Amino acid sequence: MSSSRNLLIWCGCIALIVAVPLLGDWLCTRLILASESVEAGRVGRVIHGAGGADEIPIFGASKAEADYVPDILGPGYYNYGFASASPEVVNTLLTFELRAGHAKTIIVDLFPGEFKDIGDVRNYIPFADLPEFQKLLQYQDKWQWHYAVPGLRYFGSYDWYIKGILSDHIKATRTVRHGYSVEFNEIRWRRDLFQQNIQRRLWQPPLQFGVDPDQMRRFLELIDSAPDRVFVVVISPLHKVYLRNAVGEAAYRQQLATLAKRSNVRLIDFMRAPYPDEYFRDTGHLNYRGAQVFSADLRAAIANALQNKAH
Amino acid sequence: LIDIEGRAIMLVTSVQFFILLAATIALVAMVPVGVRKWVLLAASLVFYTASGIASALFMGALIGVNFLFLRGIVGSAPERVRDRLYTASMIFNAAVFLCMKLGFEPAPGVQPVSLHFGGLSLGYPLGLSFIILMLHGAITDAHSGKYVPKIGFSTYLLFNSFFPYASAGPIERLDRMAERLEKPPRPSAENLREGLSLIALGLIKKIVVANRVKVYVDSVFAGDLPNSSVTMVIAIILNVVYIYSDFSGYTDIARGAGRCLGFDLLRNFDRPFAARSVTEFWRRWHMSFSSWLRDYLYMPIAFMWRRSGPLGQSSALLLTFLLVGFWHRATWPFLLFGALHGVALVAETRYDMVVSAPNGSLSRRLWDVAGRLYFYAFVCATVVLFSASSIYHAETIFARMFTSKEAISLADLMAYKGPVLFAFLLAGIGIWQIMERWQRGLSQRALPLFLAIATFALIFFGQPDGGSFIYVQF
Repeated sequence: MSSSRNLLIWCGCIALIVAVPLLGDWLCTRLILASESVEAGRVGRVIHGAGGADEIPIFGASKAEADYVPDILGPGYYNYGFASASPEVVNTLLTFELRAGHAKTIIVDLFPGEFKDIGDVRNYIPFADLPEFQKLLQYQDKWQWHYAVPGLRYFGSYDWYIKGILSDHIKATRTVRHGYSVEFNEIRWRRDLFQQNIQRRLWQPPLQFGVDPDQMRRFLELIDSAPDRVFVVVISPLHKVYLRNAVGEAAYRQQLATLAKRSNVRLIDFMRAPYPDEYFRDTGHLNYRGAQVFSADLRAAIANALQNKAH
Repeated sequence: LIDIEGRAIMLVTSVQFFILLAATIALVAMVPVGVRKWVLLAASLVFYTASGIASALFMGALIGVNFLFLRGIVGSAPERVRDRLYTASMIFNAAVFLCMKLGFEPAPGVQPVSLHFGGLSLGYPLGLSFIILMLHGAITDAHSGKYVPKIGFSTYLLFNSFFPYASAGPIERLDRMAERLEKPPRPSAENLREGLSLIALGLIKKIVVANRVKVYVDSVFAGDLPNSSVTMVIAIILNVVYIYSDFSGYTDIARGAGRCLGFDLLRNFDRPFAARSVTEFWRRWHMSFSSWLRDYLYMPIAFMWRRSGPLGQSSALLLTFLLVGFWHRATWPFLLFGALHGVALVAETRYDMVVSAPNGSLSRRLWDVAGRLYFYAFVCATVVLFSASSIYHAETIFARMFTSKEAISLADLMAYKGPVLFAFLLAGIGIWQIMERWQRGLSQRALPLFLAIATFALIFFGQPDGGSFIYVQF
C-alpha cells in the first residue's frame, strides 16, 4: 500500500514537473506575442503576418529602431527595428514578410557598414522551432539544445520577457507606439555628453563601407522574388564624425547602384544629411527630436521616390 | 564546457556531468562489489579527460609519483630514509604547485599559458590546488603514523581523482575514504534522497542565486555607470552572497553526487555568517580546507616555532594565511586577502588573551552586536578582493563607496537593471533560504515535491549565463 502510494506521489510530481513548465511556456508565449515592447513580440508579428495587408513595415537594426517614427511617417507604418539586427536578420524577417503575400511598400534601413550580429537570442527563442531561426541562431553559434524543448526554452529568460510585457501595461519608463519606443526618462541632450560621445567614436576604427556580399546577394534574391512589392531602401543619417576617414565608399556605391537597378527598388540616401549635433543621441543614432525631423523629411522623400519611379 | 579562462572542463552543472553521474549510479548499483571501484575510476577518468588528455596524464603522473613516495614511507625502510622521502615529497609537491601556479595560472582576464607537445596541450590542470593538498595530507598522515594506508594504486588514484570532488573539493582525507573506495557501497534509497536533494539545492544556489547576483555585482563593480554610495554598499554585501552561494552551491552538488554514489563527503560550510569573529568564520567556512590548514600547515609551523611563545604562534598563523592567499591565486589581491585575514586572526587571538567578555546580559549583548558588526564589515570588505581584478580596482570600489556624489535613485539602487530583474534576484535569495531549510529536514516522502519545486525555481528563476564556479578556477 505504502509503495503504491509512493509511486503515485512520484508520478504526480513528475506530471507536475512536465505540466507546470509547459503551462508557463504557453502563457509566456502568448504574452510575448501580444507585446510590442518585447522584440520577440515584434518578430512574431512579422512571422504571423499580424500587421495585416495595410501595414508598411520598417526593417533594420538599432538605427531603424531609433530613427523612424511611424506616427510621423504616416498611417500604416510599423517599426520592426531592433538592436544588432544585421542584414542576416532583416533577410530572415523579409522572408516571412514576403511569404504573407501583402502588397504594401517595405522600408529597409541599410546600414552602410558590414556587421553580422543577430542581437539578443531572446528575440528568437519563441520561434526557435522554425528552421529559419534555428539557422539564424546557429549562424552565430548561439544555438542551445533547450531552445528546442517546450517548457525549457525560456529557461533563463523569463525575467527579460516579463520586464518587456510589464512595460507594455505599466508604461512607467517608456511607451511603444507602432514599434517605436519613446523613453520618458531620456537623458536631456547635453553638449558635454555629446562631445564625450564624439571622443569615444574617434578612438574606434573608422567605418569600413560595404554590406557583406553574401547578405547583399540574399537581399537581392528576396527583392527579385517579389517584383510586385516596392522596397524603399534608406540609408539613415550618421553624424559626420562617424564618417570621418571612412574607407571603401566607392565599392559600397557600386553595391547601391546594383540595388538601384531593380525596378522595384527606391533608394533614399540620408547618410550625410546635415542635421545638427542636437538631433543625435550618439554619433550613430538620432534622438527623439532628430527622429521626428528625419521621419518628416523621409515621409516627403518616400512620397517623392514612389512618385518619380511611377513616372 | 568552457570555464572563464577558456579551459575545457566538465562543469558540475552541465548536462554531461549529470549523464555521467546517472550512468555511474546505475552501473555501481548493478555490478558486484569488486567491480564498483573500477566503474568509479572509469567515470573519474571520463570526467578528467574532458579537461584535456594532457591534463589527465599530468595528474596521473603526479598521483603516481606521490604513490611511490607513500609506498616508501609506509614500507620497512629505516626512519632516516622515511624522513628523507617525506621531505622529498614535500619539496616535489611544493615545486609542482609553485611552477603550475606561477606559470600557468595568470591573472583573471589574461589568456592562460599552456605547454604543447605533439597534439596535446597542457594548461593549469583542473583541481590541482585541491588535489595537491590531499596528496600532501595522505603522505603526512602516513609519515606521522596517524593513518598507514594499505591500499593499492587504483584506490589511491581513485581517492585523488574521484569525480564528484575532483574539480574543487571538498578536500577529503584518505583515512575517511580508503575503506569505502576499496569496496564502494551500493547506493541506497536514503543515499539517493539526500544526494538528489543536495544537488537540487546546489543548482538553486548557483543558477538561481549566484549567477543572478553576479550580474548585479559585476555591473556595479565595473564602474561604467554612476552609482551612489548606498548602491556600492549593496553591491559589496551582495558580492559576499555571490561568493558564498557560488561556492556552497558547488559543494552541495559535489556532496550530493558523492551521496548518490554512497559516499558521505566532508561538509564545507556550517552557517558561516552566524559567526561573530573572523576566527569563528574560518571554523565555519570552507571547513575541509580550514581543517587541512590547521592539521598540515599551521600546527607543524607553530610546533616548529613553539619556543618563541605567542610570537611564534602569531607568526605561524600569519604565514599560514599568506599561503592561503597564494593558494587561491598568485596575485596581489589574493595575497592581500590572505594577509588581512591572518592579521585579523592574530589580533583576535591576542585580544582574547587580554580581554574577556564582559559580565551582565546587556553588556554581553552589546559585545555580541559589536562582534558581529566588526565581522560583517571585515568579511564584506576583504571579499571585494576576490572579485577585484587588481588592488587598484579594489581601491576604486572603496573610493567610489566613500566619495560618490551621485544621488540615490531607484534606478541606481537596481544597478540600472530594472525592478523586474532586481525582484528576480531577491526572489532567488528567498527561494534559496526556504529550500535550504526544507532540505535539512526533508523526508523520503517529500522528496518528489522538493525536486518538483526546485525544478520550477530553476526553470522560472534561473540564470544560466554565470560561467564557471569561482573555486574551480583555483
